[in-house]
Amino acid sequence: MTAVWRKTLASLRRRRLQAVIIGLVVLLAAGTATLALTLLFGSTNAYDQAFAQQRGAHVLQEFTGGATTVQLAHTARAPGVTAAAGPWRTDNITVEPARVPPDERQMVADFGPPKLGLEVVGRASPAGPADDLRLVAGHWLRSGNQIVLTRSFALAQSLAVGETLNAVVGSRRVPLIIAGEVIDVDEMDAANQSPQHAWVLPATLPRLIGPGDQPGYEMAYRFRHAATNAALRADLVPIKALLPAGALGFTRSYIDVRNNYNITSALVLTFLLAFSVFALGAAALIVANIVTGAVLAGFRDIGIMKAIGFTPGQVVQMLVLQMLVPALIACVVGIPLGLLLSRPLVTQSADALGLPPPAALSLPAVLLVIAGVVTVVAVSAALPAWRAGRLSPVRAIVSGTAPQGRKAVGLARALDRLHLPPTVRLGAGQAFARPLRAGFTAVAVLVGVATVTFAVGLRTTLMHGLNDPAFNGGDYQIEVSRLMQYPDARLMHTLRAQPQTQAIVARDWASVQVNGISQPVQSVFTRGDATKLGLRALQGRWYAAPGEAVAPEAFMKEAHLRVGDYFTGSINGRRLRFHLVGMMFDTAEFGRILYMDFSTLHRAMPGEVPADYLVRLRPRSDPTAYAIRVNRTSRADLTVNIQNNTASSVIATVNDVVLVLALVLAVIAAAAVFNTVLLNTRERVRDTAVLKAVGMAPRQAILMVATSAAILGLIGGILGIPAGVVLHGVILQLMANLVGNTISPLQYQAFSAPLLLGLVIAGMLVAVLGALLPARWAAYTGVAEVLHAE
Amino acid sequence: MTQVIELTQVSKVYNGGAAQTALDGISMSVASGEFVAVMGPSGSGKSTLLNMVAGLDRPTSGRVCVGGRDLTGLSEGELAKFRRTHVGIVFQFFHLLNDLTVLDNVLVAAELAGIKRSAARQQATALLARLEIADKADVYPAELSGGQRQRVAIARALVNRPPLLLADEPTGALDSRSGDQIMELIAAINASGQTVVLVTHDAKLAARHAQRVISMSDGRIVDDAVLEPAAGTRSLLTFQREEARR
Ligand SMILES: Nc1ncnc2c1ncn2[C@@H]1O[C@H](COP(=O)(O)OP(=O)(O)O)[C@@H](O)[C@H]1O
Ligand SMILES: [Mg+2]
Repeated sequence: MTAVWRKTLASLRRRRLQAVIIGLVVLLAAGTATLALTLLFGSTNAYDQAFAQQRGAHVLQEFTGGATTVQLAHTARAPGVTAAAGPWRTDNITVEPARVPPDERQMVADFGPPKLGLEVVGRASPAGPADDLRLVAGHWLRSGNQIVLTRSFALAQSLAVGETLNAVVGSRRVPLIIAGEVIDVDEMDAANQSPQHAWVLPATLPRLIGPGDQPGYEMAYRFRHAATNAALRADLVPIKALLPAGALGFTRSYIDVRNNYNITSALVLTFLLAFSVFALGAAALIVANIVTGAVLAGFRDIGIMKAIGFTPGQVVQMLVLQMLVPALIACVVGIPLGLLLSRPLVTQSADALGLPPPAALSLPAVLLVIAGVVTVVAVSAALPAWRAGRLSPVRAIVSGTAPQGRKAVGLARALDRLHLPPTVRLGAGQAFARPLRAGFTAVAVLVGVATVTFAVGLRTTLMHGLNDPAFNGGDYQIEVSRLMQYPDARLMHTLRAQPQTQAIVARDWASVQVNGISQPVQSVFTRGDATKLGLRALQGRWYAAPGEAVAPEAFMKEAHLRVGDYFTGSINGRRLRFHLVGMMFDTAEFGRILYMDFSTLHRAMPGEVPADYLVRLRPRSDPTAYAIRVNRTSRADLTVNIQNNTASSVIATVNDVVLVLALVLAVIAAAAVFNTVLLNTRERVRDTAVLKAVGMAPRQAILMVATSAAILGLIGGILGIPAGVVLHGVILQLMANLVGNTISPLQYQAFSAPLLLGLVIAGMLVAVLGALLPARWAAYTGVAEVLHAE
Repeated sequence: MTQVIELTQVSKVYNGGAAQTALDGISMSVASGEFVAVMGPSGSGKSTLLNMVAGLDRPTSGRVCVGGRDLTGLSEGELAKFRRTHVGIVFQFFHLLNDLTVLDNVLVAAELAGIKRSAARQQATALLARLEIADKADVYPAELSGGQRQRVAIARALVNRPPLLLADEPTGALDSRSGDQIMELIAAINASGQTVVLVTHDAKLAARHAQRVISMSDGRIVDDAVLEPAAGTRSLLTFQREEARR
């Protein structure tokens, strides 16, 4: 072993630049991989841990008023149920914070106090057989004038324990003092789920029910089989059987909550994992390349080593060690770096659940990264080394260089016919003289160009998506909600009277029971032309008649429907026939949603009126002035929100991560290109010296090397473009699927011809620039010196 | 007679750790058409001297003139152009380009000198025929014997018809039969008018073919003898007798 070590260390010292390049690339790869895996383990664990601790409910089920508490209590003994809590009485209420923060005084003066929606639950104790609520501030309810909020809601609205919320009950206000804040693992955070749950004592709840409210019940269940949403749907069947028809309302599955909780991480993870695989691949490429180069260059050395008694195994060992040493050193730096970078993301998700921040070190992640790096490096070094180890020592010493493969004769003849200057022709010949090496260079460029293409494309698409109303929920500036006291007709009149109003679309929600699907589907019904807000079908067309519907992919998949299909179902117990006329993009409920015209809802619920109004203003109108004018018509009964269509935080995070990772990979790819070109040139330094001896000028030598690099760069660049475009499509589709949607390639519009051309040229330039430094060195090194050293 | 090579007080010092004086104030000249052998033990500076003449290396001090041009002032690029047309070089270890066929190895030199490809091809093919390796034109160097490789190297050196041929131990890596053949070739080349400087440490070869023998030791010229054809033969015989007596 000592002989192997001595030779290894000596070789490393002689090839410092290469060791540094390997180290750098492995460092970046290990760092990204650590970041990805820590996030993968860390975020999933955080939720699962909290869910276990709080006996989270697999399903939080809402019931309409049709069922009695006795009937509901019976469902706890339905087959498959392992634990149940409730029934609890529930009602959707509106509250106004009593305290006005100083910086919002003007707002309140203009708009009146903000109105916040809450789903209040009458519950005596935070503990129970399922769905424990974990107190993180204040205390549980002690008297009838208290309320407990989710921490997520309190944070989002800047509310603190001890402050008062006024519940709007008809024209009365019922004051409720915030007693505590809890973590509820069975609902999504305030940014993704509205209304949030809030709790009052059971005796308080009836006091909060206003005229026109439809109070219901809620129960929490844990089931024996709860691994998938399909299993949960099956679990609900016996419960449904115990209740009168139509009693089952909205279902909240813990899987959706967990997915939602993990969604940022999941989206980011998609890239992180893809990128770390890319980065490790690039590292493998570089290592294999360097070892191949070392074997080629050190051929005589290897022959001599074997002649003095190194076994083939020891030769392989030595070459592998030469690569592993810098790789492991890089891990020592890269892994902590990855852990450090993962910190904010992991703690942020833990924080949302009120969990203590997870341990800084995820042991499985670290071990996996080390194992990955060692395997990739060792294998990619061992393959070419093995060839060298088996070589006959005599041949190695005598020939001095590796046996040459014959270059393609056809190619040579083709080049002959082109009447190129001899330097260019020689360079072209060199580019293909060693097919493996040529492949390495081209692949390195390919990886770089593909990544940059992908990253540029993704950013363009995401920005495009953010600006396209079909992808961001519609182009409107004002959203108005009204209380019962402000009738629909009056509000429509008020809005129409504003000269800045361009289009009004009123909205209402209801659940639709679709035949073949056990759980009701939350559906949006629009009154007014929704396409005036820029909403449109990505496939098929937008609905135009009663009974027509559009939906995102998740719903279509679950119901096994395609655009053009008819399906049946019921709203409010009334049987209806629907026609799916288009597919849309909407991430709400992870794409498990239907959009229809209000006339469809009217058939089932003739008395129903919308509660929510979206207004698109004429160009160059002032939304604030508009909102104030509308609000003046009744401060008490309207909530007017100005919609600011800023990038959602998820997309913004993804965009940043993509950019950083693309840069990292571009650096890795450039390092790989530089490295192969450097090796090529070093290997050819004798040939270059010979050419100079027969009269090649230094400038011609540089031109020759640059030509060789440019050709490979061009090939890599040209192949990298389609690779990047395909990758872009795949990742984008993966992302859309995560939120229950699909995107057709026609929607991308991410690449323009000049952009792609520019990327090809950039790839070629990197190759040429990488070649220039070693080329200059080769061109100006003395011939006598090189040939003397031979 | 015009002087093809003129060295004046040429010194070369390599600075690798301890300074190594490879050439120590050498002055000499070679006339057109001469066949000069440079002899001396290993490390005496023979190759260094040849590299100076070829413009492959620069002297630390002194002047090197070849074909009437002072090489000391030329740039790398100018030196390359000078080599294309003025000198042909043959090395001990052939130094062929392994990626190129035999024909292409020869063609490269012609093309670098700006000869049109078709003309160069004719010239190279003719040369290969004269050196009796025309049948190997499309073969790669790895498949050739040492003697054949050296013929290719000679063809490459001659393809631009340089007035000066420099050969650094061209037979050093060959068996004696191939070595003899190569030497016959070089002698024939000299007979057709080209000036030849041949580095060798083989006294027999030097005496048999050269008209003049320069002996070197420790970077200095210690002897410079012109051999009469007849005297050359005699001295060779004397030499052989002396060898036999030892
Ligand atoms: N490129 C070089 N770098 C360092 N020393 C050199 C170099 N070339 C030659 N030498 C040294 O110069 C001396 C003369 O070398 P050389 O001319 O090759 O001798 P010869 O050809 O007579 O054997 C030797 O001692 C050799 O080690
Ligand atoms: Mg020598």
